[in-house]
Amino acid sequence: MIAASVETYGLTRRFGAVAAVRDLTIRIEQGEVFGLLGPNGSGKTTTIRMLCGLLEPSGGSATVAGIDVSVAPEQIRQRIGYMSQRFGLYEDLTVSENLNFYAGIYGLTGSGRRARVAEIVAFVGVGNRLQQLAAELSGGWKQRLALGCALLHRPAVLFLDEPTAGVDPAARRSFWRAIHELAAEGTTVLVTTHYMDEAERCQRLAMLSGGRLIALGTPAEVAAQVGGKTLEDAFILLQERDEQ
Amino acid sequence: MMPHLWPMVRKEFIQMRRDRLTLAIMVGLPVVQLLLFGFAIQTDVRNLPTVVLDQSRTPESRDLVAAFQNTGNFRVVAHVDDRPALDRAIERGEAQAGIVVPYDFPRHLARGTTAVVQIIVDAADPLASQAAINAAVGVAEVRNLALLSRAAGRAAVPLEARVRPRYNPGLRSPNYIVPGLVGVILTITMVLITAMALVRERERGTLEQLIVTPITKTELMLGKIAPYVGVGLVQMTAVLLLGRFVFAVPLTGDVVLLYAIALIFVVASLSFGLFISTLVRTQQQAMQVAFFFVLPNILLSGFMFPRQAMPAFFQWIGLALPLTHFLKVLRGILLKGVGVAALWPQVAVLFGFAVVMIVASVRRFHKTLD
Repeated sequence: MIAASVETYGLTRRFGAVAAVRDLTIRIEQGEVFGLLGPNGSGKTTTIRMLCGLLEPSGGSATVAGIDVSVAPEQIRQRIGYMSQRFGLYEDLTVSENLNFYAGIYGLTGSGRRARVAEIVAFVGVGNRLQQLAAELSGGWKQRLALGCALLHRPAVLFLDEPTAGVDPAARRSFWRAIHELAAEGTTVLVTTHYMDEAERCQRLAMLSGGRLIALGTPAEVAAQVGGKTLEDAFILLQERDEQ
Repeated sequence: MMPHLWPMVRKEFIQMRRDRLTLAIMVGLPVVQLLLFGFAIQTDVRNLPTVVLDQSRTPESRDLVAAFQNTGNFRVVAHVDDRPALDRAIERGEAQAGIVVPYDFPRHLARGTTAVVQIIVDAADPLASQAAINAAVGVAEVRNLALLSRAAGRAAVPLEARVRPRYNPGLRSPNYIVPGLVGVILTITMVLITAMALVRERERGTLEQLIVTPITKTELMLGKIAPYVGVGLVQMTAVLLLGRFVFAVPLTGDVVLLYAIALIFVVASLSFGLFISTLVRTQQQAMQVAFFFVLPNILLSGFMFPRQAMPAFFQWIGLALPLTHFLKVLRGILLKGVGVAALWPQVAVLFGFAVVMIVASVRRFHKTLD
């Protein structure tokens, strides 16, 4: 049996009286590209934030890379990479300064750091923009840089919260190619999206609606469970139901 | 030990260097404030505009008016003919003092009875009138002594109090204001800078990315403080140099000791700002709280108003402010030239304040988005 990389059991998060995530139970295997699909407000971001230790669960439990998020959130940090929905790097630092800062924060020093930063620069292809301020980058380049910073410490699990929002199709394609390369090397990837073509690229999906898990499986299985011919039909059905 | 601290400090340095406006304010503020305070604040009021009503018009009365004028506290701007004219001049603010020499002034002098000279002072501003009142009393006493000694046939007065104002013999305001200003400027800028520090990252969305990394809360806090310690010491140097060369404020004591204690004070102020940053949600709130803190520092620390004159309750509040203790250090070293033997209680308080604030900030801060 392959080890579970991310496992949640009855995971719940309430904000006041509102439950953003309710009783979520999923299991993600190592090296899997797993998608969280759902309309806005369905609980995708809250789920990712709980798994990264950014929000405390109100109920249930979750383990990431074998560590319980409520018990030892600090031990998880070195093993995960995280790309927030909003660009979270320093706009007043250059590409190179951002990479070197995060490399340092992840404990890389000296020649090891230089080598790893060079590797990442090559992997995400920002070699020509190293001296440019992050603020001057377009959406696609910002996203590459953010991915690079999240990978510096070779995380076991990568959390990507709507990584391709506002990115052109060509950049999205090359981004997904990179994601599958990482997964092939054994990195577990949990990605949220509401782009159907992206959801199709995931090995398995969890579809959320109003904080609840309503379908789980391969893209085809999820579409069938919700009652649409394609994933897109399923998604639209769901959104219409939510808006009523 | 603290492997993530250095990258954090480096990052803060780069950001500080790029933020030209803030940097300009940090360097410009001390200079502007020093010139403003240094030139504008003169607590020793001299040359009070004065009207004279000399009803006797004799050589003796003119001699007396001259004696008042010679103290430097009164500047005769007009002579008037009657009492209503004198009152009007003071009411309108043309004069802030009036001297009334009565008709019978020379007669009393000749007879050896008491001559009454009236000095009217506009005391609406106690600070401005105090010096004039003291000078008037002084003039009368000197005259009395001279007249009495002559009458008693003595060449010398029996007793003279020779007052020697130590540490600031010229009683110059800048000597008192400029050292205090070092502390005030440091308080304002240091608290404000770090009060914004964490909330700015929160508002820009960079905090979310930063707190999913293994950086510890202590490293994060110290990384936010460290780069600005240098800024604080540069500010202090600028004010001291200007004070020395523009206002001739003495640098009597051990400058190295002063910088060592200033370092502790700067860290204390920065860590207090950081603590504010953990309390608020937006930069605007941070600014408001910081200003709310700065005001009591200026009023209660002894920077402008003597603490001895305050009710006990406010003296206690003053003791809770780091600036109060740092002012003693500044004036002690710069004016009196005292050493660490006299200042260790202040050093201990400042050190304690810094430690408490850093610990409190680390405790209040959580690496979550809640």
